[in-house]
Amino acid sequence: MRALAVVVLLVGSAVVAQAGLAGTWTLDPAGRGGRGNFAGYATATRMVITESATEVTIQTNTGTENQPVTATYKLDGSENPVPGPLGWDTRASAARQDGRLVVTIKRSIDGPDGKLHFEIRDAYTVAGDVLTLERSQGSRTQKMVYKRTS
Amino acid sequence: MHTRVALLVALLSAAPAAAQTWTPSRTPWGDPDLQGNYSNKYEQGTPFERPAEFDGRTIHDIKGGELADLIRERAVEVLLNSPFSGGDPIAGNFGGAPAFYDRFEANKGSRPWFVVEPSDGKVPAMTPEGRQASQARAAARAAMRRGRGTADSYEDRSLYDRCITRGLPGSMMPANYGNSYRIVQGPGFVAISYEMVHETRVIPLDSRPKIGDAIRQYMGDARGHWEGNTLVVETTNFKDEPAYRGSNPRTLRLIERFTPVGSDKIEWSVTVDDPTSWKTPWTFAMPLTRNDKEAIFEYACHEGNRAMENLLSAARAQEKAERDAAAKGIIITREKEDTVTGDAN
Repeated sequence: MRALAVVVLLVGSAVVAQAGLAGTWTLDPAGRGGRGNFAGYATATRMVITESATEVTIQTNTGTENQPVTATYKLDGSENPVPGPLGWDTRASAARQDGRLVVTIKRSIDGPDGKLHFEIRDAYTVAGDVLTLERSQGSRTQKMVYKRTS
Repeated sequence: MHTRVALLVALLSAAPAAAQTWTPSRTPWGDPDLQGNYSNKYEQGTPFERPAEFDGRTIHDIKGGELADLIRERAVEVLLNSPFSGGDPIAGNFGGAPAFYDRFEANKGSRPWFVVEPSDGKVPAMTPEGRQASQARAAARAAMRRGRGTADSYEDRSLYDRCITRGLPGSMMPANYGNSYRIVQGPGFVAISYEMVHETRVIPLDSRPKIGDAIRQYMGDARGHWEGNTLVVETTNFKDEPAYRGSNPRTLRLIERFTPVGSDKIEWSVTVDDPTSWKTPWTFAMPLTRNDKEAIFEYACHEGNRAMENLLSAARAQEKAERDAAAKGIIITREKEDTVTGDAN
C-alpha cells in the first residue's frame, strides 16, 4: 500500500509539472472577479504566455486600445523593471511555488510626503485548460479565470 | 404626508454632536462667520453608500482602528487606480499615473461612507412611479437627440463634459481634482464658489419669495437662514438636466446644512427630499476642511482645451474602425460607455 501511495504521489507531481502556463488564455467572463481596475491594473481579457526554465513572458491586451503590453519575469529571484504606470517605478520578481507562478510586483512613487511603496502579488495556477490568476494587494484579492484557447 | 414631515423634521434637526461644542466667531453684522477656503478632497476614497462588506452595521459602528485601517486601504486603492495622464504601451507605459495630486490625500479621509439616513447607509429605492417617471424623463432627453449617438455633437455630451455645470449637489462632491470651495458672506447673503467649473451660488438669507415655478436653473434657486450657528440652505427650481439621481427636478428639494464643528471643520449635510421619487427623504454628509493655503484656483475648462474636439474625433475614428472591420466581416462590440458626470453622486 505504501508503494502505491508513492506511485500516486509521483503521478500527481508529474501532472502539476506538465500543466504549463504557455499558451493563449482568454478571460472567462463568468470568472471575472469584478469590473474595473484593481490595484492599478486593467483586467486582461487575453494573455499570451511563453515560458522557459529561466523566465516567463506574459503579454496582455491591457495597453491603450487593447494594444499588447509585455512583461518578462525572471525566475532567478532578481528584481527587474517591468511595464508600469507613468510616474511609477515598477519592478517585479518571480518564482515557481508549489506548481504556481508567483509574481511580486513592487510599485513606488514620490508623493508630497515622501516615497510611497505598494506591493502587488499575482499568483498564476493552471489546472488543465483553466488558468486562475489571483491578484492581491493588502487585504484585497481579485480572482480571474481564463480558458486556454491555444 | 404627516409621516414625511415628521421624518424631515427629525432628519434636519439631527445636527452633529460636535456642533454644540464649537462657537464660530461673528461677522461685523452678527452672523456666524464661516468665511474661508475649504476642501473635501480627503474624502475622495469614501463610497457614497455603505459597502456590502459592512451589511448589518451602522456608520457609527465603524470607528477607531477599524476605520483607520479602512481609510488606509482605500487611500492605497485611490492611488493605485488613479486616472491616467497618458501612456505608451509600446514604450512600456500604461495607465495609472496619479496626475492629480489631490489623490495623495485620500489617506486623510474620515468616513466609512456618506449616507447617514436611513441608518442602513443606502439610498432608498425609488418608488415604482418615481422610477417610471425618471425613465420617461430620460427617454424624453434621449428623444431630443433625434437619434444621434452619445458623441455625434458636443451637445450630446454631459453638462460636465461641456464645462457647464456639475449640478447640485454634484458641485461639492469630492473628485480627483478641483476640490476647493470658497465661502464669502455679506449682510443678507452667503456666496459659495466652486473651483471645478467655477460656479458661484449667491444665497439670499432673507425671506424673499422664491422665483416662479417656470424658471428653472442648473443650480436651482436657493434661500438660506441661520439655525443657531448652522447655515441652512434650501434649493428648488432645478432644470431637467442634470437630474440628481434621476429625481424629478420639479419636485426636488435639497436642504443643505453647513454646521461649524471646529476651528477648521464644517459638517456639510444634504437632505434629498423628492416625494415623487422617494417615499422618504434621505441624507448624506461629509466634512469640509478649512485650508486657506489652497484657495480656489483658475479653472480653464474651455481655454486651450482640446478634450471635446479629441473626444468627438475619437468617436469618428472608432466608427471608421468599426466600418472597416465590418467590411472584413468582423463585428466589433463596444463595452458600455463609462460616462463621468457631475451629477453621478
